[in-house]
Amino acid sequence: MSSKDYSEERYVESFRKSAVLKNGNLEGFVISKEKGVGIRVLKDNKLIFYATNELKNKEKIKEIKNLKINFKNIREVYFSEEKSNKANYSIKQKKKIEDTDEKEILEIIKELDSVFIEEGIKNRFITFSARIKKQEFENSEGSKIISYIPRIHLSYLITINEKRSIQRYGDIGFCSGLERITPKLFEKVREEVKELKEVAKKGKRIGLRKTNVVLSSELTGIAVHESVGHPTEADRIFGREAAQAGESYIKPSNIKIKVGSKLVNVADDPRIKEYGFFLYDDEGVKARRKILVKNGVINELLLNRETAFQLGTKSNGSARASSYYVEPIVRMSNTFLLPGEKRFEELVEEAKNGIFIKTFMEWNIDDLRINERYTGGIAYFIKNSKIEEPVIFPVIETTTFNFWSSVSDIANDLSFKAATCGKGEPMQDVPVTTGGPSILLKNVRIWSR
Amino acid sequence: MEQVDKKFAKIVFKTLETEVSDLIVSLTKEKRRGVKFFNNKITKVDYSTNLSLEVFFAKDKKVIFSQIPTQSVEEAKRFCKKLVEISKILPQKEDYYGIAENGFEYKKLSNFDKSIDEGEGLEKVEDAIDLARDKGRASGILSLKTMYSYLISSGGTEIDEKSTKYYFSFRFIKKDYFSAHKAVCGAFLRYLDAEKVANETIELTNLTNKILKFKSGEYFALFEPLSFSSFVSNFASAASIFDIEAGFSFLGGKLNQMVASKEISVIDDPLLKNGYNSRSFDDEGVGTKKKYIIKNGILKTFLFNTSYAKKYKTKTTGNAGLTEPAPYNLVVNGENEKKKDKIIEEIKEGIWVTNNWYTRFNNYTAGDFSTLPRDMIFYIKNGEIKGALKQVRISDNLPRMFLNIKLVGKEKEQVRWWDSPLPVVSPVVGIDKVHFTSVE
Repeated sequence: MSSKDYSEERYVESFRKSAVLKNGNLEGFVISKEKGVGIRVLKDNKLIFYATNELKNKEKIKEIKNLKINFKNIREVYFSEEKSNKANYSIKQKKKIEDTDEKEILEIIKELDSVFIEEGIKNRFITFSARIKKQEFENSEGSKIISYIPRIHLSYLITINEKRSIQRYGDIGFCSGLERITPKLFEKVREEVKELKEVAKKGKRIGLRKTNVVLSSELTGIAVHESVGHPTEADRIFGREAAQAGESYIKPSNIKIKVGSKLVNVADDPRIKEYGFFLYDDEGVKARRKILVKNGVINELLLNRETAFQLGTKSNGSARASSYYVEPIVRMSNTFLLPGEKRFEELVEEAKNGIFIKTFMEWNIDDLRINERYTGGIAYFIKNSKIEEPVIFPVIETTTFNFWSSVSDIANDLSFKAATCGKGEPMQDVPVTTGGPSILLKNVRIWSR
Repeated sequence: MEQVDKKFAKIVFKTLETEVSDLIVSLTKEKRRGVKFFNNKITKVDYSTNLSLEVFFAKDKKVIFSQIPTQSVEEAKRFCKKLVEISKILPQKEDYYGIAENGFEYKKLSNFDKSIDEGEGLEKVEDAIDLARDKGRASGILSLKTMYSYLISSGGTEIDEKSTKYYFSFRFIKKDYFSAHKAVCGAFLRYLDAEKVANETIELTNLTNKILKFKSGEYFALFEPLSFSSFVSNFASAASIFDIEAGFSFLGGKLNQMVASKEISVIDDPLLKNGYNSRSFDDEGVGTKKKYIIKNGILKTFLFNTSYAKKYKTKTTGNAGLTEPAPYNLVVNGENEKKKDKIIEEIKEGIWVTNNWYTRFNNYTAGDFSTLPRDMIFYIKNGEIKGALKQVRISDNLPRMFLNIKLVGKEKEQVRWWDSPLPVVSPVVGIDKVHFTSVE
């Protein structure tokens, strides 16, 4: 057991421009800049966290590093041995956030708003945020990592009132400059609104049945995130998140459990330049792809240095902190189901009769990550291998094991969707992507809300 | 120390004062100490401080919000000048009607506990953990904070306040599906009885050792304060005029209408003694006041700041949020409050929910949502606990549930947690015909 003292300092400077548009009115423009440092110290194997934005107070930092902790019920914390790293990396922006005129940002949200106006949507709420995070990480083992990461995020909540009322919350986000906000994205949103209007006008209710279901990438992505990504976070498996985000169906004594059919393979890869991107985690460990599920069986967990030590292995670079003011904990990044070889149309063909769900609104899962529910927004009947009339609010309420065991085919249309993932206390919201291709589930219990 | 910070805020105010018409500078300093524990051991000790300086200004109806860097006065001044330049190119906020110019009378609030400020309290966790040892696994956090707030406004006010907070979250797991959770909060350490919290939490897991099969359907449900806090937080937040305009509320157009059963009243009390979120002034410096959101089932007010109040030709409720008016501390009162033991005795058939999480709306304007009961869920028949349930979900409509409230308990707790970030002082609440579903 290693018992050497350890310390790290994580200086974060973030700059943010954001705007909120409510029913066409600019609520205000937000421009913020903050700097601060988050420090962790392992002194006599006791973990101390200190954060401040009073950066001149070097004496306080020294004091924290020498603090003696005297609790009776204290845990000894050990970190896995890791190679020290030196790196300086950034994401290249074609259209830099720093140089973007506020007017251009307003044009972006106005352009999205005009899509909704043209489609006759009265109730519209849009947020836009462009953020630069500059971080300097240094630890007592010689690691020094500097990163400069831009992120853009657009979200919207719209209310469609036809025969029925339907709401849609949408997220668009990238790890990039503003170049990835393109007219094509907004045309996709327009198509989505048109479909939602049809569902609100003509959507039919379905009674409880068992049938075949084709899920789009958006649905696959949220299911992967909730029922595979979260349960493979090693800190919750060891109980560290029990009073917050809960635990897991995976137990420390039994990791290699079967969750689904042999077709199911899930990865988490922070190196992909999507919303959850990073190359080194917030403990200075080099990021890599993790295969969380291989052929339907749990293969690897998301680890930081503390949980890696507990498992007698190396960290796989999964520690993240949402700001300088909170400790790094085990998190996902870009988490997705690996694609298959079929085309989407072949999945529909194979389903023959059933339901296709394209978007969702309401979802949740229990704290062991077993009992989950997804309620469709845009959804259709599949009849004789063709997508037919809309279905209103189809609900899938099942267990993780039933869900992933019913996967009978996987398409090749992998795509990613930005999302914000919450964990910890104080709550830490971090940018992630949920991803995957379309999938075919056989014999699923489904009904209309 | 506060004098130095105040001076900083005043320099920022002076830098912007002549450049803009409406200006509010507010400073918050937080000193935080805390411990996180799991599996009966403290795993992290936290000592942090943070200074936050926020600026709101408007000129010709062009509105800017900002968080200003606090490391140097010169940098802050440069940043402010940049903000003024940026504001010039913004479009007008058509429905902006200014900040408060009166309402600056303040009630004295003394929610400051010297013992928290001076570093006492964290040791209370040790006794709670000791009670759990040999019985199961205890996890949670104890967080203690001293907050200093200062606000200066071109509307004509300058005010500051110091307060303290505690938050203790204790979850006890005997085994899967036999767990319980309490999360209490307040301002004075003397009100935190960590051992009592731990004992009550552990005791809940001992009330049965049987898991029952469950059939989906409508049941009478009794919600513990932690569980009901999630519902009442969502309900009271929907009274914000911002939420109504933005499509996050089912309360639009329902002022002075019956939105809940006459058995329940919900008060927003920013001046609550020992309130976790108590404040004597809002984000534009208006003196806060206690108000009924729901009185005997009737929706009595929406929540306004000055600009929204002018838009709707009414008065501010002292709930700014410059963007989004919001409640502070919610207090749930009943018309015919009954003791919890008596309520349980009288349940013919029902489900006692001790906690829930992951409340997600399918449609905010309709109030359709689902949520997951978590920790002990008891099935009660003829006043007796027959066993525990697992893997159940509530799928219902929040306005319908509030209209179906049948009874409100007597013994109250101040709670907050993930599913209810707002502090809520609530007893148990009983609701008829709650729709439960069970996973196959």
